[in-house]
Amino acid sequence: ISLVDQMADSEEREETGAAVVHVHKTPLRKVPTVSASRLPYSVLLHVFQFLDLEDLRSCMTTCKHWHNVLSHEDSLVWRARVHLLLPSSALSDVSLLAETRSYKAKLRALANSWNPKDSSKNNYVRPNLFTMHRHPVAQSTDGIRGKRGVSSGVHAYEITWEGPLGTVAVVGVATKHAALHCPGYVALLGSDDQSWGWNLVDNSLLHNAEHLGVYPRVNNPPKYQVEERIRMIIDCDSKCVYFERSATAEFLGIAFSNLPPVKLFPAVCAVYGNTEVSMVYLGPAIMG
Amino acid sequence: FLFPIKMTSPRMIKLTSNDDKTFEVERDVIKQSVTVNTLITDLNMDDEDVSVENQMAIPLPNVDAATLEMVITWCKQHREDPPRNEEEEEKKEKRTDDIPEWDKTFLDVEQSVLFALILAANYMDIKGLLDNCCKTVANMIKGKTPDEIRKHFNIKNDFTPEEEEQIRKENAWCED
Repeated sequence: ISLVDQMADSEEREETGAAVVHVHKTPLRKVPTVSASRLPYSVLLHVFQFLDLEDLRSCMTTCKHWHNVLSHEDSLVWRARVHLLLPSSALSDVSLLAETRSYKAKLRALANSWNPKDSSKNNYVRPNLFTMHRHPVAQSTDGIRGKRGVSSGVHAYEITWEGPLGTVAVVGVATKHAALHCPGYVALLGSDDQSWGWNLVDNSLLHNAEHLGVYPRVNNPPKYQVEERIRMIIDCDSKCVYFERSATAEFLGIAFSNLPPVKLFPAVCAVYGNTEVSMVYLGPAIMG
Repeated sequence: FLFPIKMTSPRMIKLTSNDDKTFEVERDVIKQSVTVNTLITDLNMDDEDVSVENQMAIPLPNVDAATLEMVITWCKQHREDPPRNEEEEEKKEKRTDDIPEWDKTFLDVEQSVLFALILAANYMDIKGLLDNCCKTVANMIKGKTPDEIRKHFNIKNDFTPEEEEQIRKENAWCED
């Protein structure tokens, strides 16, 4: 800076502009030129709040300083996206997003929620964007997949069956090829080699139309209670799926193992009229 | 009764840049700077009946003369703007396609000038100017790949390829 000072000082100074009324004869203090990578935190936040998620992702990988600015998951940048993308019915629901605390986590959950375009036509996703609803249709089994499949890392989903189970209520995982609709009331999820399901009604595990035993893996396992929250963990590193009871964090045992190295989607299938299932992605889990 | 008639020319405020140039600006124009406005109020400068010659100049140690001149030009242009309601601004959808034409032309400057202006607007707390500057920068970022962003702003990539890949993967969900 001192070198710049001297250079600036030795220069002939101009007095231009009608607004300039007085010039002190003191050394010029030149402000160092600012580059985009050196803009202060608050200013970058202000810029970033105008960007959509895809642009924000690009900014995160631009340089470390920008990445640091965006790593605060509750900043006004993520808040601005939340208020734009998440409906107030989801935000005002005290329990739905209780486990996704930061604004960024809520956005990540939304990106991994039920996919209305990848569902049996007898289901729809409620305006809260996290709960699927099955229409009362006779002799039909109706499934739905999440928006994003996973093929690496460990991923946790909180699933809550909110309406009656009916005679068949299956939660599990599916490849993109698994069928999401069939006639009758059947355990569609787990009926072929593209899906794996836990039928909550009779506590059985299914894959490729085979019964893989009872679940949870204990003697006389308790029945699933409607509105009970369960966590489904897809562990792509160990190629297995297991469940936990959210309230007690109780591990229910490995449900499926030796899963193929393909993209797996969270999925459910339902048969009961007006039943509802909510799913909230909790993130790439760090298992405790 | 006769009331004394005062010849009122607009009240002027003096501002000094960090390179010691002093500017005179109308009180009503500079009120858009929350920082300056607060100072004027706190120092009771509005109550005093001092001529502008004897008035203390407000020093702005973070703003150089060229930038301050631009700031004043912007404030003059926007003196008639309705006062901003920050609570309402918070709730509004954040968009960048609503920069007024005059501002677009005014802000069509070299990056270093634009950034100096941003820092000045931030320091002087001129929300409208800061907003339009930041929208201008946001528009430069939009739709670009990280490589294109770095090129545009002359930013050095200080990630290892592994780090970059890791962040890209963790945030894959951001894409549509």
